[in-house]
Amino acid sequence: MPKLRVTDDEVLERPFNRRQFMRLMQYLKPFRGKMALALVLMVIWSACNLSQPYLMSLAIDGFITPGSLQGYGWVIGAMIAVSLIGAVCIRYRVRLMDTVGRTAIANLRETLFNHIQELSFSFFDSRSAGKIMVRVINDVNSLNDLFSNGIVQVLIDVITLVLLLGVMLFANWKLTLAGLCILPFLLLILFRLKRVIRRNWQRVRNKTSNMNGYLHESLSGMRVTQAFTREKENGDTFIDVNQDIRKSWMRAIRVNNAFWPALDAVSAVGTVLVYVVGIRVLGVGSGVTVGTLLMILMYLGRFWEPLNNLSNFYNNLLQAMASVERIFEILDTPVEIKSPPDAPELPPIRGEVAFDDVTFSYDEEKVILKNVSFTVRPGQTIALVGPTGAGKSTVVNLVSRFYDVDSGAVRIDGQDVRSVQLNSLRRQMSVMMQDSFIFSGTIMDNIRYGRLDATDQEVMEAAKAVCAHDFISGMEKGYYTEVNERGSRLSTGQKQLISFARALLNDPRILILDEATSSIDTHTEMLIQQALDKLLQGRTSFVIAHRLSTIRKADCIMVVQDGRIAEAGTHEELMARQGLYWEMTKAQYAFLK
Amino acid sequence: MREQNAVLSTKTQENISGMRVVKAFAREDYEKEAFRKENREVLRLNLKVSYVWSDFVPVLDFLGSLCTPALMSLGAYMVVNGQLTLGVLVSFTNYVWMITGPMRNLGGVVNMLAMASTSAEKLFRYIDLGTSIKDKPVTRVPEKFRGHVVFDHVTFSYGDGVVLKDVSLDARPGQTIALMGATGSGKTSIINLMARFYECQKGTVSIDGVDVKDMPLQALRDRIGIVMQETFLFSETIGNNIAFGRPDLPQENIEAAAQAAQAGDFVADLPQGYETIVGERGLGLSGGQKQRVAIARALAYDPTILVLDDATSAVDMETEHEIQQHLQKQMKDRTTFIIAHRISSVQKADEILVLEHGCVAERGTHAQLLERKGLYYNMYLDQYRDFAAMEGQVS
Ligand SMILES: Nc1ncnc2c1ncn2[C@@H]1O[C@H](COP(=O)(O)OP(=O)(O)OP(=O)(O)O)[C@@H](O)[C@H]1O
Ligand SMILES: Nc1ncnc2c1ncn2[C@@H]1O[C@H](COP(=O)(O)OP(=O)(O)OP(=O)(O)O)[C@@H](O)[C@H]1O
Ligand SMILES: [Mg+2]
Ligand SMILES: [Mg+2]
Repeated sequence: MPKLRVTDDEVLERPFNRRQFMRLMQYLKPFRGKMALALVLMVIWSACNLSQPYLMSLAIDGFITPGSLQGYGWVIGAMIAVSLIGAVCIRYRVRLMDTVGRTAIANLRETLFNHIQELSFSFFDSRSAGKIMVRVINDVNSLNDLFSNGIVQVLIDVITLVLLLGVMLFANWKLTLAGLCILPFLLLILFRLKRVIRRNWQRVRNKTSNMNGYLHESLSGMRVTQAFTREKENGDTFIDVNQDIRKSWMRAIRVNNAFWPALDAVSAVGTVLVYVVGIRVLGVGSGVTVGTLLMILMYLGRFWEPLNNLSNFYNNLLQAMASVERIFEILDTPVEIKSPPDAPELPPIRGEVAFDDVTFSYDEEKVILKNVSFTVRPGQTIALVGPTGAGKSTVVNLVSRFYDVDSGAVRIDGQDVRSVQLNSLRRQMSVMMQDSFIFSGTIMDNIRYGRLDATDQEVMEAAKAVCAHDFISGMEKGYYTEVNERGSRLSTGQKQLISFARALLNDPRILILDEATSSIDTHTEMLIQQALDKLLQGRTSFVIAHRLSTIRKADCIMVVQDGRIAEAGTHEELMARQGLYWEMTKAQYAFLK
Repeated sequence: MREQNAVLSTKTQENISGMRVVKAFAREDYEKEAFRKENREVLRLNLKVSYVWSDFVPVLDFLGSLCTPALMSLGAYMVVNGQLTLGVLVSFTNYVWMITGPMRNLGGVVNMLAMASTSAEKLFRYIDLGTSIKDKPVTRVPEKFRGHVVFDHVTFSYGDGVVLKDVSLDARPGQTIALMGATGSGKTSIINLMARFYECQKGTVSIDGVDVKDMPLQALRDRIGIVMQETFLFSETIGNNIAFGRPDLPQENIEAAAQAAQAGDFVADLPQGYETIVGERGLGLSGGQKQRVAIARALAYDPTILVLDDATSAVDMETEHEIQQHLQKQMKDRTTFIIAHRISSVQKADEILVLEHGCVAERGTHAQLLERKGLYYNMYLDQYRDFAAMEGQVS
């Protein structure tokens, strides 16, 4: 049973975890070549970028101050050339790294999605669709920055910083040291303030994700909300949630906006220091020219960007680690229900189904089926009856191996369902569940989901068998009518008929109908029954129903009660026995009188 | 681009909600392939956008950085000619630096504006949709809600094809009205009109003499408790689900409602009882258990008009009978609408309406309809035949 509500918070930040990080990097491995190339491009760009201030000082000290412009064109030309090369490098780097990052993201997303497809029902029992979706979409997306820019950018920034420092010290180490006096303060601001900023943004994200969860469910349950006139309460709750976001947002933005001014102020002190030291302390005679001064200042200006990048990277990394953890948590969820690697395909099913002392529970809290044993011969129709919550659906869930038994075994044609290829097992049976599910798309596509290569003709045949043909062709676009998710343009019974047609189209060897006709009127149901009798000859079928008419003709009726098969036999046998079934029937009869 | 992202989300969402069907048909590979296609499409579009950027940004950058050489050429010339001091030139190079920064940001801002305006467009489209169903400027409330529902020659369509044709009915306070009919004959639609989820095109629907279109929605729906055909439970505790319509309901009333819906026993059996959190759409409960929680929710609402839309389809007959007995006790001052397919569920109703293709084909009490030997009689036979065959065995 699920333990979480939609709006329960999730962890947003994790300390850096080397193992997970390395594991994440595996997804970048195929792109090593491209990344190396990007790195080279960036080193070139970095060099170009750093040569600008040098060219400036050259222009001033070499030409303007002396007052002779002989050959000055070369300097200007070099400036333009350097900009051009830099721009070209940027262009290719962006292309390369975006390709790398986005492709890696897409690959990761696919891996995740594919893994989710394999996971068993129990996984989905405890999580809402919305939350799983957030992992596949948002969590994966949030790695984009890390993949596209982060990793390579870090290297570049480090290289840039080293180069920068080297060039500056080489040009004039005294001025450089003067300018860099402020570095400690700067680092303090960067890493301290940034942390506060990060925390604030995380609060915003937390609130936003709560809002999304709330929104998601409110929208799916809109009908109920309107019927129970909860619009106002829900609206108020939403306003609260929204206000929370606004407040946390404002707080975050306030701290955020303090960042640049603080940085500017500190770096202005650096600039002043360079001037003061350059002009007052060292003096005109010390060889500190205008050009040098300018160059050092320009270099100093270029110091903040890589530093800022690095601190951003660090913050991104921490946030990404939270997403990474959530993603890996799913990837690490073991596939509980899978076939052994060398499992044989299940040959065409004859239709013998046997439960051998099966005990089963969904979770530790409660045993649902206790020592259930029975054998169904090929071609038989089995009806399961019993009070609600007795475990009827659970029995059929085990036949198609949606869950695994705790002890005992379920055998089909003598083979344990756990020992054969899962796909070959499920392909040969059709389950129609209690809640019919309609995909968005045309009605034709919805029915065809049962057998993808079915022709239009076959789809229509299946629809005819369940008496759905008439109403479908009555619609404006017939089989090509678009229905949206959960089929909001159809009546409930019509949805059931469509799922029913889907199940029949699959041409199953074993058919499971879990209250397949509960919302369908008795007359239509009878017509379907007649069609089924013909279609299902020689196939095993399980039928769960509450209406006597649906089950009376079954070859064997099993009464499920408290997780046991309390009685089994044909209608006549059970009536003669005057046990539970007899009592149920008698009661129903009494209501009708 | 955004659109495609939304497609991907929808695809994932649908896949996960429909996972049971996916697995039942062993369509995992098909789903993977479908997802792969969408995912690659998102990738392609993403890269397309980023390539446009990659053409655009360096050009801007380059043009911006041309300022410096331009300035330096002209400036050098002027300084050498004495028209400008070196200091002014140096300060200009700094100004240029300050200008190019915002210039580069401009590209981002333009992009942001473009995105914002497309978003705004979509947003406004929704806002402008308005609520087609809303309170009139002047609304009327019946003096006292007693639950007298009248449909007067109502004709209705969802857009294409008429769903209800000239339907009339008169449900007096305290009465039980049953609606029967084939799948898609319009039973749920009648309820939709009564609670004004939709509005009819012709005729009127009125409650206690007031047209529902003239009533404030809040007041109207406050008096109608609906158990919908498709059960929706919130991922909340069972207790909160039952008290959904009346958030302040005391625990004993919640339990009383659960008892009346025959849900009390199984909830009490759960380890956490009413505090058990049920999953999305009530996962973790059996079909019948979900339905009973939904019935309890409607009962806890204590409505004047109670609607049971196929509310016991997943409940066995005995339990259904017990629920009905409980309801019977409280029905005196309550109008009840029952939609059902079982004769046993409807036979006690004061009036049974049999719908066919949106028209009322037959109406009357159980006894009257049996005499008519029409649709209802046939349904009765279908269901009764089984019993007739074993008359001897059960008596
Ligand atoms: N996914 C699940 N996780 C935990 N418990 C579950 C789950 N599904 C069902 N149960 C519990 O298992 C029991 C048997 O449920 P099951 O769905 O088999 O009943 P059923 O006989 O089909 O009833 P109904 O006629 O109402 O559909 C119930 O008590 C139910 O609460
Ligand atoms: N939202 C909608 N938009 C368009 N058509 C709809 C919509 N809802 C229902 N319909 C159509 O209106 C008709 C009547 O639907 P309604 O839900 O009233 O049937 P119903 O009698 O309740 O059937 P069921 O017994 O299957 O629940 C059906 O043909 C259906 O396809
Ligand atoms: Mg069930
Ligand atoms: Mg309906």
